[in-house]
Amino acid sequence: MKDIKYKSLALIILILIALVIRITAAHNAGMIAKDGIKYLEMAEHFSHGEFHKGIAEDFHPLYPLLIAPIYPLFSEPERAGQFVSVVLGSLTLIPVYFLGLKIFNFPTAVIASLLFACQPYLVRTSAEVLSEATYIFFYVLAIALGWQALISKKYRYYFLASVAGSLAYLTRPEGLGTLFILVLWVMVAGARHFRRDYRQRLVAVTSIALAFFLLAFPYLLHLKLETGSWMLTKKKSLKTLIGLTQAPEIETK
Amino acid sequence: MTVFIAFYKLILKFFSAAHPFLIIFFLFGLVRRHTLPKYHKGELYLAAYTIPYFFLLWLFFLTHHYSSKRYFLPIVILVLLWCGLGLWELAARLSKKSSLWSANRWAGLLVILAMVIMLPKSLASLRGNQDLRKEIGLWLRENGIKHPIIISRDPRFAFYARGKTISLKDYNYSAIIQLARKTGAHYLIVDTRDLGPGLTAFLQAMHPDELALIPGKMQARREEGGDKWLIYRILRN
Repeated sequence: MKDIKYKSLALIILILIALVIRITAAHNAGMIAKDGIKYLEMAEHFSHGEFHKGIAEDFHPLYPLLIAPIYPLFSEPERAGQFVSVVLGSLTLIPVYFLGLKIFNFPTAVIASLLFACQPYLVRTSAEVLSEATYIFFYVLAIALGWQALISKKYRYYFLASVAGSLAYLTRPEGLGTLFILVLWVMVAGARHFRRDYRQRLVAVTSIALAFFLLAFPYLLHLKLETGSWMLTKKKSLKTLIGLTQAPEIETK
Repeated sequence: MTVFIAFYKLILKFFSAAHPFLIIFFLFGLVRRHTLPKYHKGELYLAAYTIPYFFLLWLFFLTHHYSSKRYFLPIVILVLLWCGLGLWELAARLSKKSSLWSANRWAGLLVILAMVIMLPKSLASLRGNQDLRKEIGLWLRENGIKHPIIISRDPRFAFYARGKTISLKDYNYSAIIQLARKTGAHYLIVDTRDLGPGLTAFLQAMHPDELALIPGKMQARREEGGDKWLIYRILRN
């Protein structure tokens, strides 16, 4: 009990350190990134209830959706976007700390968290109106919950890991990779965890698929209705990015 | 570019994104460690997220000949765990070599050192050298037309001026004037770097009844700083 209190207190102090550094970085941040303007335009549409206009952009919608409720509270819209990045950028420390504790040891968890708190690129992206901080938060959260699922063998953690992974996907398309690797781990590398129980493995994968379907289906359906074909993103596909195919022209209805 | 050169360049980029100082700890946390000599299966789990992603970045780099440090963040954040272990490992080794300080003390010193080295970069102003665009936008908001329509290549002028951007495709003078009439634009902001050798031709084609260079604060600032923005008020005939 004392140990848990001690570790929780350490976590709170570490989050506060990360938060102070990110608030200072946000205060020092210069000019907004070009993409940041797009995110804020989307957030403005969402906050005015013009959902169809907001989602019409190529960017995935979660980051602007998170900005939307607080958008009217700030006189400078840029600050609303920074607020979301600073908060989620600081909270990313929780899954980092958790992974350090579960996979390594307490000193490693604390030191890794302190390094996370001041790592230049992680701090900078947490101070900007860009989706990186939000994406990294859900990405690491999905990895941490995935590990918890693998060691505890509880299906609810698979479901929660998939919720986090799906939210990462709704922030940036590459978030889908998190779920792909988790499923692969359950099917192949994690086979020893489940021994020969295929039913358990099937339920775990179904939990992951179910959470993804529940969260991502509305967006996938929107893409289908807008473009006429099923696709995971309006941005460039993985095949195009790694040079396997040419980028197709997307005609919107 | 050969696959090996691309790989080498990507490794260097990763080192730079993670911060070279942290890479030292990363190596201590990865190889020949004594504090946790056995590899945990969780490390394999973490590697399953980092290695394939690095491979994809490599393919992307081979195809597009481009990579950004931002792309490495999903790897950097997981690598930090090995960096943490490496710092602890180094502290333990240092305490063994010199019995004056415990591993905890060495670790504290190394963490402070890491923070002192990294924090100035972390807290530095982002795009500080481009701040004049923000200043111009804010100046237009204070001193210009409310909610202006601005023809420019950069949407940030209009963002800070609380206006709307009309994207400037090319610097054909008559096309710009036509666009300005069609859209009812109030300002034209020209980046002299974009014009290059065509700047003289553009300036010669300019008619004082159509465009008026905005004098005053921004003009003076431009002359002082040798900056590259020309701000024109679009005149109505």
